[in-house]
Amino acid sequence: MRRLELLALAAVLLVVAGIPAAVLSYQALGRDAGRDDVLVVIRTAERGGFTPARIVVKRGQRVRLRLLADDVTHGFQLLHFGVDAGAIKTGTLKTVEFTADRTGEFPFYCSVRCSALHMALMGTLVVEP
Amino acid sequence: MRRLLALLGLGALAGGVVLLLAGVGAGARAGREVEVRLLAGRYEFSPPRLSVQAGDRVTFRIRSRDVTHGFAVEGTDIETTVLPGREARVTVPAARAGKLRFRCSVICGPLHPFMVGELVVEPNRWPLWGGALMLLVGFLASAGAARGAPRPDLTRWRPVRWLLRRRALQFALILPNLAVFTVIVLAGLIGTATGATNFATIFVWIAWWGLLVLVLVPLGGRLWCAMCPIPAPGEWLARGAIVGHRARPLGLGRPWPRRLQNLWPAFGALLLLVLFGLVVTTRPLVTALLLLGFTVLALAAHLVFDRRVFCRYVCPVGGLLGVYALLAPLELRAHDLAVCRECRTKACFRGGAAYPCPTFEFPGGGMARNTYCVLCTECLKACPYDNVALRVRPFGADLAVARGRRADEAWLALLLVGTALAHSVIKLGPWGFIKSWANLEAAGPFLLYTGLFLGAVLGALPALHLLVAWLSRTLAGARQVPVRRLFVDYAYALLPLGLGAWMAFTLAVVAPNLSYVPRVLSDPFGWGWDLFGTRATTWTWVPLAAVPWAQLALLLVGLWGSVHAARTIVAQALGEARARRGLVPVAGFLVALAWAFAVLYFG
Repeated sequence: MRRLELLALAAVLLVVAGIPAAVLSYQALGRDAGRDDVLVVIRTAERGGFTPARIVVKRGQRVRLRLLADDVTHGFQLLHFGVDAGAIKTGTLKTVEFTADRTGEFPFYCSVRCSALHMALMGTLVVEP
Repeated sequence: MRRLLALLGLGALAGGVVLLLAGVGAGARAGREVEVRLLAGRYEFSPPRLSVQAGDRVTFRIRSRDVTHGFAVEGTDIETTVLPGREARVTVPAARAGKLRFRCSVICGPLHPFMVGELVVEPNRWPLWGGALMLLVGFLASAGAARGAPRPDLTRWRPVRWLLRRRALQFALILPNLAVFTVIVLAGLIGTATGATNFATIFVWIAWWGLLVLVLVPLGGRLWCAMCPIPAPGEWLARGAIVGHRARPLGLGRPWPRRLQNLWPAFGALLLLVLFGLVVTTRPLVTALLLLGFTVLALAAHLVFDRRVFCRYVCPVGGLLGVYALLAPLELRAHDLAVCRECRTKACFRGGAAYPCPTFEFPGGGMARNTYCVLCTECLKACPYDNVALRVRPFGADLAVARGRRADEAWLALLLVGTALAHSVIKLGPWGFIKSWANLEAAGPFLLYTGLFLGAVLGALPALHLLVAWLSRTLAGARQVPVRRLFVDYAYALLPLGLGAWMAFTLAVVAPNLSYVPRVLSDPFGWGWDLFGTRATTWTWVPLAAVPWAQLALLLVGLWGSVHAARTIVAQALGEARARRGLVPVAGFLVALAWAFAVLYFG
């Protein structure tokens, strides 16, 4: 009976502490894997806009952006590199790839009306030499 | 023989009505080409309701007023996206008469799951013939009294008895739910704020609520309480053990305040929950905080007070489960009361080889109804004579038990029927302004909605119920029976219809949104994960065209149960001789209520 009690306690602790630990470590690990793979979460400007709003890469780097529309349908345009992901429906992920062949600072925008501050929804791609 | 013929005749009539509803015999008409300009905005379509003739082909020209929406017709695979600035064109053939629902199919905000519009295809016979069926059911159910059916004892079967005697049973049931609960709270606290893509909202208000109302409650009554993770940590701490039985508990063990030893705390909590229902069920953070709050409350209650007072007196879901458990086909009772009369230890109530009943019930003496039994099986383990049985019985059996009927339970029954009606209007209806008011967007409109809600659910409906009780007494010529007594007793007759309505409502909310379940299993936090490869699921498992049929069936079965119970309750209150006359206003009220739901769902 004593052993069953200890087993039960271990199971409870595994669940209550283990699940959050597993979730957070999985998320942290996911971020680091594939350094060229950037997860860009898009929310309306009122809710924070692009996360990250500033992406820094090196010239010549092959950039892969995974775009996740979080709250409503957004769009994504980085026309300086010919990137137009079109409409990204809420909760869906679209991946775009391009080579950062010029240095400078290039803005990217949301291209599907998402809120009253839709026009202000923008971020910057910084290509360093 | 005559009864058989009558039954056959009525069955044929019912079958004929069903066929009429299905559109059999309706001549194929060459329909018109109808063009409709539809405006989609958060969270309604303009116009919200349209009317066309059967046989028409309806071309929708849809524009968005704000963000990207979708347009999907329930029961068909017609679906399109409506981008801002672009007009979407979709043609819907309105072949059969009835009501077609269309909904937004692209997540556009918190109230997205409730953004619906209605296309009424005339001639829509559903409200009329649904009402006729209800009158029929009301008439048939009011005849004849219930015959006592045998109640087989499941514990006579060795494997069942073995399982129920295991102390580890409760823990085995609770642990998986505790794991899911942990993910729910975590997802609500740190996951995406978008309800439709968050594990918390989907698994509480779609998966758990759907399973609870559609399966657990009708089949097992308070069975959820036996596996609920919310009181578990508190109970383990207070007992000083998770699985085993300790003779001396660790909690303070104070008695619960006398004034609150009733269901009024649960009633108040349920009222708050349904009042803020739209906000609570669509925001993951609010869902998580609510569940966390309940857990903390239950924890504190266990450490300070004796036994499971949170579950018994405070939990709003417990209040709902308690009254609907009266209808369940499962019961835990003493097998042979003669043995209990000889028993000296009364271990089921006082404790002994196992814990005393956590909700202060007394299987060996007073427990005749399911209302407060949480099916934890402690009494079964404690009984030194192995005299506790788990029995299967007919539906609605406890409604005939006259002893123990109370005002707090009666008001819960009334609140639940009223809320089912109100939520059907707010959540399933096409009227966006009501959703806006209930969405806590501004203080003024929300207060207006609160006033309307309380006025209807706590004012108008109970007033009607009181009138019915008075009419019943007057028509039966039984003026010596206090109306207050009838008010309480007759409220129990509302329970079967109430459960039928809640099941119909839940089916209509859960079925179209089932595709979110595999989605959030793959991406619980809305962070772009894809654990099982199902993040892009759009199909639903349930053919949505079947939902109105299921709703009609649920309402009819619920109405039958209610009128049948009313027959018994009226006879108990007014005497057998006067029962037929006293039943008329009650049965009429029940039929009218059922018909109100039918008009809302099908009209």
